[in-house]
Amino acid sequence: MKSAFVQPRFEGTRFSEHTLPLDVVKDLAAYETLLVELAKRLYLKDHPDRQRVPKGFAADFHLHLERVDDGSARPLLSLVATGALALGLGAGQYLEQARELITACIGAPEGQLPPEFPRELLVHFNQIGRSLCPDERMEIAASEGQTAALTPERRKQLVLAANSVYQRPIELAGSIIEAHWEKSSLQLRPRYGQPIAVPMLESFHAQARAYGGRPRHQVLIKGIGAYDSWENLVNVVSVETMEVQLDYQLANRFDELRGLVDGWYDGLGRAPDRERLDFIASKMIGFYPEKAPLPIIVPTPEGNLLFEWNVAGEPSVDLDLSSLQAEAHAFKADQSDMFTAFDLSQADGWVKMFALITQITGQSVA
Amino acid sequence: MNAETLLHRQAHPKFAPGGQLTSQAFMPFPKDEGLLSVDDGDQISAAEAFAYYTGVLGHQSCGVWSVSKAEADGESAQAIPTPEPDRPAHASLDFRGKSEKECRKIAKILKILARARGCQYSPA
Repeated sequence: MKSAFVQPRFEGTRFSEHTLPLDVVKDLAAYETLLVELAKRLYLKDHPDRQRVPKGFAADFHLHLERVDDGSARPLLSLVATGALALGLGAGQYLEQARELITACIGAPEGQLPPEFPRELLVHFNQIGRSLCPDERMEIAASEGQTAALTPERRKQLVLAANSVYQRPIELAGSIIEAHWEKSSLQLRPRYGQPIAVPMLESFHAQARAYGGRPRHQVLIKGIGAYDSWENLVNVVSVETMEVQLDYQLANRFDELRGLVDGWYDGLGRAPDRERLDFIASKMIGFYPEKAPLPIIVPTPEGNLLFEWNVAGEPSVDLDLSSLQAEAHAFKADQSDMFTAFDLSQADGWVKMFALITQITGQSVA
Repeated sequence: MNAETLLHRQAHPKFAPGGQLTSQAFMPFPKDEGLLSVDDGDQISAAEAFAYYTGVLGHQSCGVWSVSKAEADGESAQAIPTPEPDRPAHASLDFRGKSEKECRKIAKILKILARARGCQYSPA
């Protein structure tokens, strides 16, 4: 047996093609979970003599995504009953009551939630609507012809009405301070903010060993974070992906340089050749000596690169991208000059240059 | 223009990423044929020079860094007036006849001197 149950309307640029992103489907699954849980509570309220709902109550009911209609995207969720037991128990009416109560809860003015809605169930809004972006909303028509709109802000209000934190997706980047193998967690120093513990995926253990305590390499984490009402990150609840970005500052700088186009210098200035730039990046990212300070890297108007270090001796390397010839310069302690040339088309050119950089940036040149 | 005159150089944002000045800001541009464009601090302030360079000429600058005429002359990059019809305070540091190596070395010294003096003007 199947009957149309609820048809929310999703508004926002992602829904303009009248399709439903898969991560939104997860929100709808969470809606079903809340629906069933609330229906059980309503049943028990009407049957105070019972400790639990009858066996089979709601178990044979499921919400199915029947189709997605236009305007913008309106998924039709139908209630599908697969067994006769639940019908006899009257679960259907409690599911409908639950639907109306959820809609009333979403549509209620802030601080005026329906008193019959159990506050402990508000935690379900950590998942329902989690995928909504700031410009998006999920609207549900109420039986009186009104519409309740779930937005990211409303979702936050609902969760925080009964909890000190609410959850939302998080992208976090930082270096590994230490790893706790037994707890399978990392202590991460984010680029901004205080160090924070992060659950560690089993598959990430080897990389945590390799890059722990090496701040030039950072971990990019996608998962779920718990935030307080002031948007402070309280803890990382779960992690979906962890990815190491080697020498992230160098990588970011090379990305910026890749974005240059001819004319970058007030209409003049040749952009560095991207293939050559990628070649240089591939030789430096992950290989740049950890004992040497990072260089400032700037383009030259001729389409080449200058590496410069703000340390004693003012060392620099001028790199001709077309020939891959590099020339290092530094002032010696007696103010005379040190010039050294490297052929960076050859592997040993890089070895020699990195050795020299380590030496001259670590001490004044003798 | 005298020995103490400050010569204001506009730093292109690409030559001072994150506010870290590099010697590239003091390297003559190929089209300038060895003459590095500056403004005569006796005639125009660093802030005025910035406003003219970015507002009137429409060029990019992230700040004004300066060396004195004596400092430039002492590094064989002689400061000379090169006024233009609409930019009478325009001057140049003369790198003509110098090799790339020599230019880089002089540019570094000018950068060190300018950095020691501190940024003379930067937009808020």
